[in-house]
Amino acid sequence: MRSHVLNWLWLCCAFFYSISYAKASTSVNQPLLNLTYFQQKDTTVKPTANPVVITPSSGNQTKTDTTKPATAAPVVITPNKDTTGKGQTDTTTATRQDSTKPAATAAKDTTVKPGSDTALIVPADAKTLKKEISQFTVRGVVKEPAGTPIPGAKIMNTATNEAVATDVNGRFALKVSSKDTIKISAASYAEQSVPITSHDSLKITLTSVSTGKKQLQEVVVTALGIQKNPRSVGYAVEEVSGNTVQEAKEVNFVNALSGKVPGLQVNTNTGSMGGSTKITIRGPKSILGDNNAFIVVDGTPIVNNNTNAAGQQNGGGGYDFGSSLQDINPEDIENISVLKGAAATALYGSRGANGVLLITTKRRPDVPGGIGITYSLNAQVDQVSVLPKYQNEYGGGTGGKFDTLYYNQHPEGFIDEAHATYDDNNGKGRYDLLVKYADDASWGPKLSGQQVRHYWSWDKDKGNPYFGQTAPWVAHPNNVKDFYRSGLTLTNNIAIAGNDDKGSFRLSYGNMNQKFILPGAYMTRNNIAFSGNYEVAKGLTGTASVNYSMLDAKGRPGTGFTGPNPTLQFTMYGQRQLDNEMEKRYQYADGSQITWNRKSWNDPTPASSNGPYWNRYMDYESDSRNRLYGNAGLDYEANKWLSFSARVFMDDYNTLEEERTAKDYFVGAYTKRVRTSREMNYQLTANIKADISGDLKFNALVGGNVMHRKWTTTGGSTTGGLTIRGVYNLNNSVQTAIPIDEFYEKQINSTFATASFAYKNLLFLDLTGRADWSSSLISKNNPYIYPSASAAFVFSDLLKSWKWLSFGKLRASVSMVGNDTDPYQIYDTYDFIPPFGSNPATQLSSTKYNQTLKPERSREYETGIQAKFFDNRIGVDFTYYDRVTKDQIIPLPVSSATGFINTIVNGGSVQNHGIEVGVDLNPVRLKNSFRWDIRANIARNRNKLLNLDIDQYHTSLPVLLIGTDRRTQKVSVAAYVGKPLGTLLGTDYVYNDKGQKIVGDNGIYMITPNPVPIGNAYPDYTGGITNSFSYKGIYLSALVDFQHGGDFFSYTNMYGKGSGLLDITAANGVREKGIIAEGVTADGKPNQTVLDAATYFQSNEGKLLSRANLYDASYVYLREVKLGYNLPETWYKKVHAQNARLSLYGRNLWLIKSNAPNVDPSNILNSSSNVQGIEGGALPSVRSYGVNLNISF
Amino acid sequence: MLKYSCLILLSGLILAACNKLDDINHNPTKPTTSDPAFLLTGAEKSAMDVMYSTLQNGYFAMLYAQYWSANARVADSQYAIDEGNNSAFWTTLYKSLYNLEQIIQLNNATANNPAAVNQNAIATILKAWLFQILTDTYGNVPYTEALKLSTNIAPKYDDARSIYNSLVDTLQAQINVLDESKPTFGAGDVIYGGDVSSWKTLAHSLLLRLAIRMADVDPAKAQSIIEANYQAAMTSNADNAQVIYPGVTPNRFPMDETERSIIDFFVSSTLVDYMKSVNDPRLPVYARPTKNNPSNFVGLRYGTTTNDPSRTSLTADDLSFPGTKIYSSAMPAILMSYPEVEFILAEAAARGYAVGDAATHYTNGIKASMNFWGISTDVDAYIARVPYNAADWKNVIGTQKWLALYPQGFQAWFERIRLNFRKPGGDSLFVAPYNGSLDPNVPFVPYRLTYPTGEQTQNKASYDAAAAAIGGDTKGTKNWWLKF
Repeated sequence: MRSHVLNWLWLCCAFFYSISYAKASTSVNQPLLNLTYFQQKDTTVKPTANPVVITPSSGNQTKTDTTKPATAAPVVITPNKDTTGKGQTDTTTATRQDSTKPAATAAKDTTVKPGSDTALIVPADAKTLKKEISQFTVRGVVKEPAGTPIPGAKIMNTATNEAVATDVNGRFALKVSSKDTIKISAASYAEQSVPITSHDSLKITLTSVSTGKKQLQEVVVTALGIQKNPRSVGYAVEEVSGNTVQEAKEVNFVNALSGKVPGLQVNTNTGSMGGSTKITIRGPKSILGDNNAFIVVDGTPIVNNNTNAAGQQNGGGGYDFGSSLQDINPEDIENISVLKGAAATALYGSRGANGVLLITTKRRPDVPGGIGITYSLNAQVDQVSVLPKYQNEYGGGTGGKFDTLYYNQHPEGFIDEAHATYDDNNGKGRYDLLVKYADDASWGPKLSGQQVRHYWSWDKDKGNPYFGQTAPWVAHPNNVKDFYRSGLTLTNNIAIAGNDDKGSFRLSYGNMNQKFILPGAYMTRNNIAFSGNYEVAKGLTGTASVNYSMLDAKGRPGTGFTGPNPTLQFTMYGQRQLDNEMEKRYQYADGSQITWNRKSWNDPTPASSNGPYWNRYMDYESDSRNRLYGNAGLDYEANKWLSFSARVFMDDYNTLEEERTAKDYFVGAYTKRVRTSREMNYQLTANIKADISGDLKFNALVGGNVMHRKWTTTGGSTTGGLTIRGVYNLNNSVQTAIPIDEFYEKQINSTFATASFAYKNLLFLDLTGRADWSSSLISKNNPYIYPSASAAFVFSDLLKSWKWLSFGKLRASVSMVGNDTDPYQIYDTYDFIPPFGSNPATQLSSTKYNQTLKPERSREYETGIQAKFFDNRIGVDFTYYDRVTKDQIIPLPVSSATGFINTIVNGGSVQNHGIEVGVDLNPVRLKNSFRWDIRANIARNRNKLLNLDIDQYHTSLPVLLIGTDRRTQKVSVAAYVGKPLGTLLGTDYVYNDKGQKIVGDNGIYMITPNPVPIGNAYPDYTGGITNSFSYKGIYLSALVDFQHGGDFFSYTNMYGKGSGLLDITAANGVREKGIIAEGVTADGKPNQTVLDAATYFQSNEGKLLSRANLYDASYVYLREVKLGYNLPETWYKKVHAQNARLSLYGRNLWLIKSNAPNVDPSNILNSSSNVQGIEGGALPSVRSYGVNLNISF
Repeated sequence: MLKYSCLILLSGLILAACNKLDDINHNPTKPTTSDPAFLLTGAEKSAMDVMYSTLQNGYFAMLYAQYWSANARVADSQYAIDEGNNSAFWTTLYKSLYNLEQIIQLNNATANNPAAVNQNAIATILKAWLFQILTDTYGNVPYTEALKLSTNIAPKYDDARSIYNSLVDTLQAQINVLDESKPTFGAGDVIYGGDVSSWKTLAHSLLLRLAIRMADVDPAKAQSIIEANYQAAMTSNADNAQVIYPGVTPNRFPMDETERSIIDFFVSSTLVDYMKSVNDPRLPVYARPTKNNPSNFVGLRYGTTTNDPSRTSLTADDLSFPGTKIYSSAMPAILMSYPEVEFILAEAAARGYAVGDAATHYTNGIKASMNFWGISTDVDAYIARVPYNAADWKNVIGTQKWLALYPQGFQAWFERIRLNFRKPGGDSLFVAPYNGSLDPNVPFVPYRLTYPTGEQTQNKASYDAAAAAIGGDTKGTKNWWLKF
């Protein structure tokens, strides 16, 4: 082992050397190739936290096992294994381990009891010792469930680290000692460990695990981390293995879940830099809430608030600081449980109302016993993919004309008279042609090579070497594409884990370095994680988990319609002829800006737009976050039927956000925000289990939780600009900086209980209840109670004669859950406004608070069936749910004639009902180990606003605006009674009886006077299909995800057309010939009025007519392709590794189908708020290619 | 045993925590009460911020008064407005009204503030000022049911004429209540420093403004109000009701371009050409010379789009921006000023009310305006160039009042449409947007703003009733006082 460590150190040096080389190099491909020889462990299959002993002699084994060949010895099956085999022992009853305990409490390894020598720090010596005593050769055969031998499977003795591979017939022979454990692994199969108890030969059956997606397991993790046998669960739970988010990486791991779980919708923007991610499970439930799923890591609730400015959400602009989930190191994730329905989440009380992502981190070594080290390296290249289609025929300006400057009038604008290019011989003398610099549009002259004075040819007084020069008026078709560089992300992770009979630990360090596609945009993340448990006395186990993350980002993209968003000048308002190479010169020696959008030839002040590089390097944000989260606690087993668990959970972070605007022609600005948050949860539970009779078993859990959270924002903004340029400090403010000072505090006290009954291991009933006392509601409206009941029936156990039916289960549940609200919604307060001179000023808050507030209520029915047929070749999982959320807590916008803008009330009911279908197919499995699996899922959610009754005011509203786009102020996301949430309102064409668009006499479309429903932001259905192929040590998988339906309103198209930037504005000679709007005049005759192109696009497809820029958001995307390879043993043996795996992947590879021009409809999110369907000038989407290497020692 | 002790521990934990829950939900960082003076300062500032914002004064009123012509965003001058600016105008005015109302409620609740009488009267006068602007801008607006959220989230709209009558009664009542012998606001009143007699003067002057606007439809009432109040109204620019901003961010005059130059508007050729034609000495104050010719003033033809061929040969350097004083912290935000009073009285006299001589008031109005802008030379010569003419009083007074109201966009717009004046002599002054109106209801000029779109959803029944009552919620619907 010591030699292994030395080898590992050597390897590390090699890696870091190559990484620094990669950083310094402009070519990113070369270092990647250099790295490929490093070897990697198989990561497709990973044990979850708790291997479970299946003891053949235990009670239920009396049933005949029809699917499995008898194994010679007790088999330790890691949880990835298929559990559908009938007659397997129920983990809830057959083992000493109480699977109803939270995951952490059960972390103690009960499966393998290696000799005490493994506790020694130098286990290699012990192994050597062992090896010498009594070895014998064990023989066996490895097959898949259908009986096909698996060649190339790896058989490893975990005590000696010796490994062999199976031959073409699946046979192997390996030297072992008694009490050793062998581990069997093969690509695309679940890993197994088998303890050696005799000299008999072994028959080992491996079951398939689809890439990135777990099969049903021995245990699923449910609310509060309670582990259950999947057959006993009465509601839909989806489990996703950590590998899904590790191999093909996203900075925010959640983005990699898109299309992989039915009913889970992940919306992103160009999220590779950790931008906003919206995680919606089973549709939006709250009219004005953000509807994002609740995230729990090992029992610790993770605060995932969106801190973006309100104006940023509706396309108004601002930085997207993104989701704080990006703090979580994907490499630490063992498993993600997606709890979708109310029955699944009822134990979380109000916080689980929008569904829960329950993340279990890795806890123990991949190898049972001893110490294991895993190293992984991931390198990824990002490139922009879907860019708008620009025109390259006309340059900047309006009216197709240049300005002129005569030497005689302004000799100071020329080097000398001879350098003035033109002379019309009309007596006015020589002159130059000038671009209309101040016009941020491309309705200028045709790009036909004329010599003109570009914006960079002035400013003699600033020592400009290009002063007086002309250059041809030509297109630079790639000027946008060239601005975006290739991104590179390098991730290193090392984990050390060990265990013995008293406890286990895992320590990991991860480092991510990202160079984003935008110049000047960088992000680094360092994660340190420790988890461990130890049996301190008999029955008493201490456990702790600590995670520390440090995130530093600089130059995140601005979003929406503002300068920091590069698409503002590239797509919304800009000039097409600009030369990116010249734009890189953004500053004179005196520090002042050079922008293409200068006010005039003799005034370098920006008219509207900064240059793109000035924006990146001079006006930029930076942010950093340090976060500590984790838990500590004790578990005590009082006796056979009673145990206790006490836990303290903490999530504590502080974020620094800084926004800078340089002092130059503008006065400059600096804003600083420090956000702190600390959430503590104190939880105590008692677990009871009892066999009421032979057939009836009982588990219960009773507990309480106190949640306390305090969060603040402090900082300030400069006013009146900066005094000294280049210094970003609030003291550098011209006038006293305006402080930001916010404080929030909230507490929820809870008690909860569950009771589970199992009858003959085929009929299950779960009852849960929780009561919450929330500080955010007035005491008379506390507590509020959430009950749920769910049942599961494994009917296939009664139909054993139906050989074609491998497994069948019916499930049903009913539940009531609720939701409280943010603090300080009860009592009215005044707001401070800055003093007027020396006079203090206040005003009443714009929101009227409410002392009668009640919790929001949901009830949900869910039913489903799960079945597998023909020896598991076909699997189907179907769920139907129906949920109504009423008494919603909404800041009801009221007529401001009341003196307020909104008032907090209860009211409104939203229904979500839908279906989720998951299908597994295994069309091909050949004797040569070739295998083809298809996993498909589709979800359809139907959402409807049932009413907007506000009982408190005895009123009922027809519609509630959720948000209105910032710039045109015409497109709103609305809750419309009788229609889905997310209804888009906007102005529409006026149609005649025949459905033809009516055009006015001026050739411009008639427009509805008021906004009307024109679309819906939410899709009809979403889903994904994964095809995976495996052959010996190689597997290939491809995910296609899709969305059908849903609409969005597009700034990119609206402004891009109005400014003459997009190709459509110059296609087919429209600028020469003009355009006739398609439609009829009021009297029904075809419209024949010809408009010039600029007027046409600005009026008929412009800001006034929302409908003209509404697009279908449907798409089909080749989202992910992975090619994995278990490296041959001979390669990695050289570095004394036990396992090595290499995979290549691509993400966001191909937008196969889209009905929207110039935008990637899957990449348009502004923020994770409920304001959806408004595209505010999205960045181009990013295509990524990566290589992932994983080695364990 | 352990089990029980744990349960006891648990219940103890929860009970201990329960008592604190209500305390936690009081925001410790925000006040639950305030001082009337602090509220007054906030209300006066926020109302003036919106009255002189480039978004509201600029993109609505200064365009509709045709003082200015939009540079790049021309659609607003073609009457396709930014609804966000419209909502902000309505919302900010009502919010200021509510904060003024809050002063009265705070005083009434404590009942021990000796300054309450004068403070409440001052707040009420300010409310009357803002309500008149609201009803002049929109027609019928929420009034009797407004500012009462706890009982009514959907206030009905009152008839504009009844609001006028109520405002007249309200102002007259405040004049009677105001008492110079009692305490009042101090410096927190950033208009008059709490000076009670000044507020009385303003109340009389606002009554004149209300009365003259109804002169075409209720001449008897207009006459009686004006005759009763004119002597107590403003008599010099020293009486002007205005806010002078400290000139330090965030308290700069809203059109102060110190931090970033405002390039949204040029002065219109309507304004520049007329002022040039009478050699108005205020032109260099109202407009800046062009960059290309520092001795020339060039207005942009109203409503000319950037795509119009006539624009493509013009650069910003060929056109005049509004004057530097208008765009500086030296510019006071005017609530009402003395020149307006004189022009009201000139018109009243022209209409035959017993308020003295029309020509005298007319001359006084011009002189007061010149005085306000610090112009002392050429004044009498100018008056001789634009003499009062009783036979043409509407055009003569209208033009000069229009020139004197610059840059009070809203009042100028109301007066433009009410008097519907032309140049003295009858030549047309105002033009339709050169590239056409984008609102078919108002080819020439809007008579009102449409209600904010939020009202259509948040207050639908009241909105529908109001739209029907005024004859349709379009910019072409005439307010009740508009008769021509």
